[in-house]
Amino acid sequence: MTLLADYLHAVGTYLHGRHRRDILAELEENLRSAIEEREADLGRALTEPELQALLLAHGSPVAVAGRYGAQQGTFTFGRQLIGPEFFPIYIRVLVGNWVISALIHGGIALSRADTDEPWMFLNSIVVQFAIVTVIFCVVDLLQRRSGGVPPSLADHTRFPPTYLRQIPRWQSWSGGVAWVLLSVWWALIPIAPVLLVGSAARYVHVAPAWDGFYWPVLLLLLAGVAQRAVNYVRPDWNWLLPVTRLGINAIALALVYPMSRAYPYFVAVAGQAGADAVVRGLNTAGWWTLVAGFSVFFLSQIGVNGWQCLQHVRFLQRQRQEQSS
Amino acid sequence: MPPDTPDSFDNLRLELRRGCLVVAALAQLRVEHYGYTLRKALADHGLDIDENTLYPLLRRLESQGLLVSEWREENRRNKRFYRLSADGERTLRLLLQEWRGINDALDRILTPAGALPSGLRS
Repeated sequence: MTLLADYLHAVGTYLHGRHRRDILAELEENLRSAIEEREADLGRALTEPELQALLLAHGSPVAVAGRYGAQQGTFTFGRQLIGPEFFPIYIRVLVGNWVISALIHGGIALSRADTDEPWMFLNSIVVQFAIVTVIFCVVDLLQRRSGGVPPSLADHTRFPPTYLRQIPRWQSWSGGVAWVLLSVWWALIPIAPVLLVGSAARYVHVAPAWDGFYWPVLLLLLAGVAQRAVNYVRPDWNWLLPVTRLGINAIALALVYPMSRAYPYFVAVAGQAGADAVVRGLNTAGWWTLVAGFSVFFLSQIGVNGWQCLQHVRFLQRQRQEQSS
Repeated sequence: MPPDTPDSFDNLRLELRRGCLVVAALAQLRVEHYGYTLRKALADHGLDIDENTLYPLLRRLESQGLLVSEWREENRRNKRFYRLSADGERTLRLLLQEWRGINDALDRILTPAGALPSGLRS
């Protein structure tokens, strides 16, 4: 009954207060009774997809919690602009942005003792609030017009588990567009270094050591595009997403070490005044981005993707056991 | 939106049912039930209630003092049993009087000359 536990956990994330445990215990008992009756009708235990269907027929976790009076929060200005399904994600993104801004501006203020920095920080959090809010309002509006928020996004909790979720087509095409743009950006860097170093491209060149990483990185990006394209056609191949991402992130992590050894990443064009200082800054930023940023990111993603792949494997094993019995 | 569209009908039907469900749940709980068996009992009498409506309704009626509940073991599992409280019995009696009054009035409105209008005859 892992699925039932996941469902109750998902409902519980929206419930607060002293009645939370009591509500969940009662809900569990009523659902167990419904499951037992269904199993008695069929004369066998329910399969996981059947159990998932029964639980979803009871209601999505956010809706069930809402019936018990749970407040998920909304963003309302005259009319509801961000619904309860998106509101928790909206808050997380907003707070995440603010925390990053606070760290960056705090670091700059401390290192420079700059009195303008607090005002810059306030300015940036207002701008971030406006941008993030507008984006979520548009997404919420589009989702409602296209027939409601998909359960996979509405329930950012653990239900349904990823191995039982179809990958929504909108997620595949929007992700595909992002991966294509990233691939094109990377592919054009040798022709237009300005895409990587901006206006410094006049007096800064990418070091030749990068040539060896150009194709491996491009192939990884194209693998991401291919996965999105396949999942757009076959949203039921939900295992493809974690498997591909696990592969991509593992190879990317393996590339970080030789990349970090390829230092320096940028060289100054001879005879350009001030280019050395810019190159030093770019090399330092590049090294920290690679070692501290990308390696931690890839490692954490490998953990997440590995866990999701394990869930798929366990699900397949359980299915085989059910079939053999 | 014209009143005969399905959306309007659904909303009006929900409004009509809401009060009736409370009366039905209170009446059925003159005998003790836990959530699932109460839903089954109501369905057996022809009144289907969505689980997501019934279970929160029970908690609300209990918080209003119309029901009492206790956790008890049955078939080696803990279940929460509900039954009508003394206040609930009094309220149910009053609600039934009210409902019968409304029902009689509706009957009189619909059959002014002792016969149903042709459109409402089955």
